[in-house]
Amino acid sequence: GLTSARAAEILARDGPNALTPPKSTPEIIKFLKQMVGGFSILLWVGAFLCWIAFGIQLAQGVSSAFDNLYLGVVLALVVILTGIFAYYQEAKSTNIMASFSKMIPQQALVIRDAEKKEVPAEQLVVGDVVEIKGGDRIPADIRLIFAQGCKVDNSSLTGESEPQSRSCDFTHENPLETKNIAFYSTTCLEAFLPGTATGMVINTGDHTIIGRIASLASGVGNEKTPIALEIEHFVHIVAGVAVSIGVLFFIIAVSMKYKVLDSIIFLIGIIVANVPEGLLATVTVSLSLTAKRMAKKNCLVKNLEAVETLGSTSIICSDKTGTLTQNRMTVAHLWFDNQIYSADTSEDQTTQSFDQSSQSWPALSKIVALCNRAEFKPGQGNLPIMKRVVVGDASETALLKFSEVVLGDVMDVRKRNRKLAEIPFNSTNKFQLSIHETEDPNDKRFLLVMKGAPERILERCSTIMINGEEKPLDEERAEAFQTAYMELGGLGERVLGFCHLYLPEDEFPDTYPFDTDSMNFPTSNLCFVGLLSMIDPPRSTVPDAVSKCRSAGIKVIMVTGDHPITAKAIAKSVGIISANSETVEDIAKRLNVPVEQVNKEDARAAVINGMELKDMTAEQLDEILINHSEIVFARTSPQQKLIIVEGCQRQDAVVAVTGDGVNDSPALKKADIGIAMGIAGSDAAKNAADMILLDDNFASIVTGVEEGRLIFDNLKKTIAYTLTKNIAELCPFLIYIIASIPLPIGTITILFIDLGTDIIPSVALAYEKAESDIMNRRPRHKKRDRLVNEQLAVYSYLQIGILQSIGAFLAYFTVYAEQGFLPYTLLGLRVNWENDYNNDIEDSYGQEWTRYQRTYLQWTGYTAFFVSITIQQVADLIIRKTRRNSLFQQGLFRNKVIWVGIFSQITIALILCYGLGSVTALNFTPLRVQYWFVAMPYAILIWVYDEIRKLFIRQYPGSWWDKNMYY
Amino acid sequence: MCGLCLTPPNFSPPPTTALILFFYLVFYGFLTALFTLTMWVMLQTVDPYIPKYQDRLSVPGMMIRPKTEALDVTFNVSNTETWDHYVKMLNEFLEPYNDSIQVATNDACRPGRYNEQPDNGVLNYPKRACQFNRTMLGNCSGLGDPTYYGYADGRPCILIKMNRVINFFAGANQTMNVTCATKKEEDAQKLGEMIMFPPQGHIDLMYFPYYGKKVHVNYTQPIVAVKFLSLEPNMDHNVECKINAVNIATTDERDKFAGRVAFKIRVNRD
Repeated sequence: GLTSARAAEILARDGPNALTPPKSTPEIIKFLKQMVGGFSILLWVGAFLCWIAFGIQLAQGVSSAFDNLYLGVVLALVVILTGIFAYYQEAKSTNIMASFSKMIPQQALVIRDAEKKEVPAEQLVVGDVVEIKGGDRIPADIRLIFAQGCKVDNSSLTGESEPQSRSCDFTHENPLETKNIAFYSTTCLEAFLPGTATGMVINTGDHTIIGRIASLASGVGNEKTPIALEIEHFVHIVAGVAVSIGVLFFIIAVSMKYKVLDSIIFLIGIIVANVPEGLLATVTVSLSLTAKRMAKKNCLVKNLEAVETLGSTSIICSDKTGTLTQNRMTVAHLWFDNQIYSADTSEDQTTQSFDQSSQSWPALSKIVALCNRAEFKPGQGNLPIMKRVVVGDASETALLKFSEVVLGDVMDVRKRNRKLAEIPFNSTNKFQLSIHETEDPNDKRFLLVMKGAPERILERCSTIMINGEEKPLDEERAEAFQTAYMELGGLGERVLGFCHLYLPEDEFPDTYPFDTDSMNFPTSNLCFVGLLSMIDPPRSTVPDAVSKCRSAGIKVIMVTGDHPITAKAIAKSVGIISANSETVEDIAKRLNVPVEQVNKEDARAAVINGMELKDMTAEQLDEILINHSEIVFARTSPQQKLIIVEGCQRQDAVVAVTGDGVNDSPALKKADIGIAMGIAGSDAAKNAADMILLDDNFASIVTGVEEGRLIFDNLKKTIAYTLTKNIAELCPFLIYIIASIPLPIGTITILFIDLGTDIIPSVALAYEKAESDIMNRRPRHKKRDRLVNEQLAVYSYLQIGILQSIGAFLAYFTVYAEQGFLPYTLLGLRVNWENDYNNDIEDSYGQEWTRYQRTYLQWTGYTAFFVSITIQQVADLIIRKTRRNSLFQQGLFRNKVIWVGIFSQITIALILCYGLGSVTALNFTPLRVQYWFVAMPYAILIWVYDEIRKLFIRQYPGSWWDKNMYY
Repeated sequence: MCGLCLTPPNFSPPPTTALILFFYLVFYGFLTALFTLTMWVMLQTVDPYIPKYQDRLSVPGMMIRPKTEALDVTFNVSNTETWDHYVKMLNEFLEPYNDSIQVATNDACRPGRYNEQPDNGVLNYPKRACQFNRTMLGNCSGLGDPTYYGYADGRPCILIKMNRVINFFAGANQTMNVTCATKKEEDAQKLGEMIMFPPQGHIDLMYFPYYGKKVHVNYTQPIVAVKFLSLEPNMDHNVECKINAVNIATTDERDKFAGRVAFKIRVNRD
């Protein structure tokens, strides 16, 4: 090995043997981003205008100057608090991730200074000689110089679920293929015989294969989520409206000879009225509520916005192993007595129901149970068989569990048929053999059992067991075997042959010394008993989930490193390729014509091999993605997965990608939503993903999609609800400027609506149930189906908003009229009204008012206006429950949270009005009870009008009304 | 070339736009009608003679004449232009108080008691008002006054009035008067002597109650004039006048004009 000094030198040169973590944005930048995002800029402008106005007014000695100072402070506080809130929400979801990436510091056994030493894996350098034993994680990329029984699990790197044996032989040019290199972060399997290996470190840290993939992943840009784009679009609309109305009225005010300072104050009012201050926080809360709900359904969302992305997904590129399948080999078919039997492959099988009456069956089952080195780990007696942990490779595990299910206690069977000799499976002879005593005390013969590659087993047989009797293996029977073998192989299953031989008692007496090296026993002319085929079967929930995806307009594409035949078989069994679809090859075979002559458009399905994909241009790939609705990519490499994702994104699709390996991380990152597996997933995959599937089950994605679609609909409702009252807040300012009436509602009061009464109701809409089966419609089009569309804005602003405004104005005029100022006296009154020194303004009855008396009346007006908006917002909340259905169809009481919202709304209004009515700074006054009811007719009208709107939409789908009134 | 050829006029916009315009025409037409209707209904419930609520006016405010920007009466004795507009304002204000008008339209009421005029069954029966003759303001009446309410000789008159409040029985059957003082006691010296008209700033009960603009057509508001006799010139004097009446609180922290009025007066002399 190296000397410590030399190692230290190299360490200094190459850096530690660890992956550089992806560059993360500094916390302070993240925080500041929240402070200037969304409406914040607009509110900052408002705040600064306030302070400017305060400065000027203070210099002029205006008594109300401090109002502007406070308002500015409040606006700044609103921005800062919502910023902190958003930052906190983001940090919270990031924290979930931090727990995943925590890794135990790894130790490596290295030879330095000619001594074996334990050093932290981080300190390994190129040239170090390390020793690895079963169960270890490989600490760096190493070239093996000694290996015994060493197998590595490369699944996280290459996606191959099969353990790969490793030796010191150089077998391939490609470092990924050759047998003498083991890769960083893969694991050396704890095999039956503890494998050991010694190797020399050839790459460390970021230079390792994993490191290169990781840097490939961080090189892939993170694009904005669809919901982020939607919210940006919405912010632009609202900010556009705010700024243009603000500037327009600033100009109007100036040209109406208002003082510039007054015009600036109007501008602030217009901005505050137009900006839904609480909305972005509400959206965040709604998303996190959904995220919580999804976590309960095993979808852990890392990035809140991904919640909705999942809902707009139009293509899911799914892994096969573990996601669609159970990720364990299971016996699927048996062949004996010239007949194929199907076995139960479900996750929780307890019995096998195929016909077991044949005489051949006991013989076959005995071979399966005996010729097997796998064992259950002890102490799992009360676990279901399928859940028990087994020591042994995948096929043997499958066979062990299978025989445990059909025979009962396999260990007992083995005990009764004591094993005398054994030859384990190896790649040269491709069979496994063992010799046993029989359990029948009268039968002194030994039983030789063998399993292995079917063709090799058949070669060694001269007879075949049919219905329990040995028959000569003639041409015809060999033909039948071939047919069965082909058929099972065609299902993508791994087939094993089983045979046995009772060794004659006279030749092999009790004491016969079996020697496995010299093979002093017959290994030919055996009796063929049957075939068993195994597959990693689909999860039982997957076919249903795939068909749900299909009806939801989501295309499911399988991308796997597996063999095309297996991939296709699984795709067929889960419905990714539907029963009556054919690939080009299928059609060619059916019509008996060359593949080239088949019209590609006739084939709905396509199975694309990684090798074919390699030679394809982007256009050809696009063509395949467009022309075929059912696609399976087999034998694909990680880079190809990325290419496939990019191809899908070129079709404007929102692509979800599932993955577990390190090799998947670039694709996960590139995807609109990357979904990592919680159980099988590697840390790198989890880091790159937006979402983690806790149960690795494809079906969970589908429930996630449903939640995502629901939240999109509900956010629409929330936004519609929130935008409506903006008009009712804005109109007062416009009328105030134009008609010069006393100000109907103050800026502070508006903030109390936006950040007080309206918050809980708008969150409550996130709990609304879907109006129809949202899984029966197509995914929304990223560019056409907007969150805030024209109809929503127009209906909220120009219809319900206006209705609300006039309802609130009615209350305003009522308050003033009943105090002595009839509506017409108010017109043009503003200048005198707001003159601090004018203390004898005459009302309609000849009475005279001081400034404070008027101010108090003005606050009463604010309160009445506020209460009216609140009351009408209750109606608005109720109508927003549905967009199409009648409220009676939806049910008024199904969403209880709505009622909590209404209750909170009214309670907050009551507290503000009566509890805080005496706090002057808040501009509320205790309002006479009857004013709460003035706007009630308008509230009822809002509801009736909306019911009529929905009725027409339902009655005349596709009509002009539907097109313009459905949002 | 073909000026007379009639091409079909292309005035029909795309039908959807037209429909939308039509829709909003109807919609807003309906809303206007609805708003008008509800406003009309609301106004029907409002009594035109007396407001429904007067809770805000429990304490009548006070004001001064001349009514100036920032309640600041500043003038230069020798510069007529600086006080000319005050005089004009006072003349205008006192016009209806001319004895001739008062005698012609109003009754000479019995002082010292309220001039109550019950409806006696006839709803909103017109009410008579009591005379407040301009001459009662003495040296501040501006009648035959060469000093123009004292502005010409630096001994200005300020008129003080109490805000009208319907059915308010000021003084609760006891006499009341208006007094003026500097805001800070130590400045009293500089303010000098004042003289009030009517004497002691007395406001008679007979001018109350006020029955409202509609029924009490010729109502004449009682006023008190204060004449500053020896103001120290070239300095600001902050004066506060308040009414001393049993049922008028003058201590409201927030309303600085409830039952009182504060103003600044400054006489500049060259």
